[in-house]
Amino acid sequence: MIKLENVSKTYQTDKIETLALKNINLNVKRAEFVSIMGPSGCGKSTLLNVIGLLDRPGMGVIEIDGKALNTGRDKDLAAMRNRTFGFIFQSFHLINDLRVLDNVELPLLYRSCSAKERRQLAQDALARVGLSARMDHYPNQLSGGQQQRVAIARAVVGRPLILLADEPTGNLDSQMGAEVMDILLKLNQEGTTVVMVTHDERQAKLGGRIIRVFDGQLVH
Amino acid sequence: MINLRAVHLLKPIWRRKFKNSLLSLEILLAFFVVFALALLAARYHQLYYLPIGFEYQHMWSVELQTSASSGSKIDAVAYDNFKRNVGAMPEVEGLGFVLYSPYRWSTWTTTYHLPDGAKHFSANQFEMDDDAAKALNMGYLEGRGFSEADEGAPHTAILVNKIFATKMFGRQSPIGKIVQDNKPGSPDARSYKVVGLVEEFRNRGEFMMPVPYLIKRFSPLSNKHRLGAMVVKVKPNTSRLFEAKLTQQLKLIRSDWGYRVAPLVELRKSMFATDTIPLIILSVIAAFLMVMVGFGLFGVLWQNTTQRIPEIGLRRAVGATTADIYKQIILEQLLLCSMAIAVGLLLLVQIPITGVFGESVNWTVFGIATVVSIFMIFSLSVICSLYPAWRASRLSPTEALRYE
Amino acid sequence: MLKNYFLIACSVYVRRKLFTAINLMCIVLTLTVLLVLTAALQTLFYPTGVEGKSVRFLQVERITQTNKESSQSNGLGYKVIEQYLRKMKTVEAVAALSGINEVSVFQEERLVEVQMRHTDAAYWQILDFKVLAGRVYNADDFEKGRFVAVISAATAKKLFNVEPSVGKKINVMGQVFEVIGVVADEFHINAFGGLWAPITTFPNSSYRNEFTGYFSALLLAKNVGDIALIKDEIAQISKQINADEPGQWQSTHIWADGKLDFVARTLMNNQTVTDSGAGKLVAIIVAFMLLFMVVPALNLINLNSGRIQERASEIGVRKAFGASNAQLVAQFVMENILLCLVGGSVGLLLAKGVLVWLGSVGIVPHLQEDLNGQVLAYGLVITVVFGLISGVIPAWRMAQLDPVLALKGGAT
Repeated sequence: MIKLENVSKTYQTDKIETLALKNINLNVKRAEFVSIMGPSGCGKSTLLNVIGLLDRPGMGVIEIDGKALNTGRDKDLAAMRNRTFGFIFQSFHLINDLRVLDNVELPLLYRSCSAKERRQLAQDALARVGLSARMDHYPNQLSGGQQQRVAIARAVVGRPLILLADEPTGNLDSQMGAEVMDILLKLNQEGTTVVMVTHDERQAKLGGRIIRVFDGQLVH
Repeated sequence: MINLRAVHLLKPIWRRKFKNSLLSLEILLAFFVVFALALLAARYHQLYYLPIGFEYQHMWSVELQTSASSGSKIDAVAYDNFKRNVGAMPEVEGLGFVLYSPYRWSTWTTTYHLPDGAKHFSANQFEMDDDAAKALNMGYLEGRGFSEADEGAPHTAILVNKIFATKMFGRQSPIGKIVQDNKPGSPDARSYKVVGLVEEFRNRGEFMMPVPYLIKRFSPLSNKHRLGAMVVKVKPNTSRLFEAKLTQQLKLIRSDWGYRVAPLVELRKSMFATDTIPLIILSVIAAFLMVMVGFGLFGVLWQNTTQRIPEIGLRRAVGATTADIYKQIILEQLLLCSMAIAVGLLLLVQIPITGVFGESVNWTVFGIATVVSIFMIFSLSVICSLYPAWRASRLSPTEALRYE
Repeated sequence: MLKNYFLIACSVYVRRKLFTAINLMCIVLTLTVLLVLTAALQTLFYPTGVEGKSVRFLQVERITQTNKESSQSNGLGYKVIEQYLRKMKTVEAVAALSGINEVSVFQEERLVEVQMRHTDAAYWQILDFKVLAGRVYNADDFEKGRFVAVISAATAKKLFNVEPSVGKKINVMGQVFEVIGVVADEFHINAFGGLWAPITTFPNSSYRNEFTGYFSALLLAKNVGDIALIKDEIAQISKQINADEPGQWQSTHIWADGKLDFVARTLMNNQTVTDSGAGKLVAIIVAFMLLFMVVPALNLINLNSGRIQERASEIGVRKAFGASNAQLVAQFVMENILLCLVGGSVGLLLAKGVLVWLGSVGIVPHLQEDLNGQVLAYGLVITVVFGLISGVIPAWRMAQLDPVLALKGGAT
């Protein structure tokens, strides 16, 4: 499903060049649940961003769903992100100016999809995270756990092949975190590939395969 | 210490260079327009106090609307008739014929040459008969006005103004000098002899640019064209109703002509109205731009201070006083304005240096315009920064640091 | 999609009240000024009311004669109108009118300044004056040279205050006219004035022998399609006049122009070439309007760019879920245009107010311009152009934001 070959990435900040990723080779199979772990600043998030095509790798080859990505065109990358990935962030990143339902609809805006269809899909997604009752609320009227569940609904509404979650429980207390993990696991069982960055060893174990990153390199 | 201050002042400005460059551009544009307005106003003010060379109080103008074409001649007897009959009216103190009425939008220019061909330039010219200069109360710096004695002289008598004299004859006295209206040697060149030097003659009035000016003597006997207007000096306290009486009198002399009779004071008033139109238009544009720039400065400063609340909180936490914060924000603003103004002045100073607009943008006017426009822009930016600065300085350090 | 943008735009604008207020004020002020200007130009180029037939009439105002070295440009002499224009085959009617003459009218020991025109009878036929009392003079009055005058409502008020004016005698610079009609005040180029009398009341008839003078002519076409024919015939007449005129001129030019061409030709002084300079004039007007938008646009660019950080999260999320840069640019530009449209509507109301005010205080006498459909259409175009100018740069900068940076950290 996801294949990284010799992927390296450097950051140029002011005058210092930092190597964020060094020769990463990674292979994630369909419907796998992969947890990426490692200390702060080791490059976990960068790795996730590179996989999610938000960040361009400096070197190396990325293959998603059997297709090698050699294009750099913004339009193609955007379409790829839209179809293939669903993102979940530590700090939710919901748009506070939009209702929950409109937030969930967001990924569907960037593909051809009628308003009615969008609405139906968004309602379904919200039902799956158990928030049908809250769809007319605004994000800041919800608790942290509820917000993250909205974010998950948004991530899955477009039926992506891969879910990318960057510390999805990092801003939540343990009970809420557990709820979110349950949903992710359920989605995984339904066939969605999940790649999750986490600090929590226990949660990582729930997923199955664990990848450890240290200083920009995979540690086996 | 001073260096450190400068860094703290300049660094944030540099960091926001995109925003600041747009803001500077805006200030620059406003500065240009305000400058143009100040320049024009200063120039008008200057012109207003320059002599016009004739009297307009208690003067009336009578424009003759004859149906014949303008090239044709009026009989000398007709001029005489007008002079005697109008002159006999009790209110009239004096009158004369002129090419066209003062305070009208007419000009007539011709190039004049020295007989040896050494110099030539274009000068405004005018024509009047022997009595007009007296009626208009023109004073002579040197020489004399026109008189009967000039009739039939080989060179037509002329008066010149100081600018003409200096430009044509340098420091020498112009009296008795000869000029001609075409290249030396050309067959239709006529020559003129200077009999008097006047301070100035600006027929369009106070806001006319001082230019080289030459007034030819008109002779009803020998000139083949005609004069279009009469200037009539009346006794002080002559009422406006004199117009009816004068028109009646004129109709008695030539009933088939039309007459436009108006006191020069009235013509002057309407001339002022016309002349100040550019000033008014420019004022409206300048006011619009100032308001716009005001909005822009205020909005951006507001945004800046909001975004910099943590920075301000930090400064407060390490001991900056309210006054320091105030000072920093206003100083930043002034610095930004100064940069825009410096660029603007660098461009504008080329005007008096190169002299593209000639005498109309002289150094005095330029100086006044600079001071006025800098003052305007600075005041605007201080006014616009007061409220955001006040708001920022009022934040308590803890509040400011907590703000996200 | 649009609804989503619309919702975002609205809530952003409602949440940032001060920002919205400043933006709106910039927009409103700019668009008000531009709309008033547009309304004024519209009235000038496509008048309604008294000069409402202007699409069908052409104006001949100057006769320009040139030699190798010199040239002169004057108003038409009456002879040109009488001997040439009146004999044209392609026109329906020809009116002759003089320029405005400031005259004094003596009325019961008072002296009143009035703007006077001398015209023929066809003038009243081509221009649609509103006759308030009495009648205007007709061909018979004109032929016989009767001393009859039409005055405007403003003149009637000045001269007679409230009394009915028709039938009164007035003394205009020594000539006594009988007032036969009162017409409404008008502001248009050919219609404004305070007092009208037949050309034939001139003290002598020498004006009839002049090629140059102070008249102009209005040529009314049978229909709009004939305008090109009239222009052709005028070109022929120019040649004929050049041959007939006693002065030794190499060429003579007279032009029959519609409103826009007429104004352009006068301003650009294109008296010897066929091109009136209308294209150039329109270009200058558009350039001036764009220039006028620069400073307010800079304001909007500045303020909008300042909000990039504020909206970083939203931008990052949209990018992560598949918005392309182009789509984001479109969104932010549309937001800006939306605000501009709101500002434009307010500006429209204000412009209406300004026009009413201008008309009432009499800075411009008898101004009656209004906001018609065409002005609204131009207003819409101006608003959208302004929205684009002020919106594209900040939108582009917003869309360029790196999603990784935008999504980093814990701030929402």
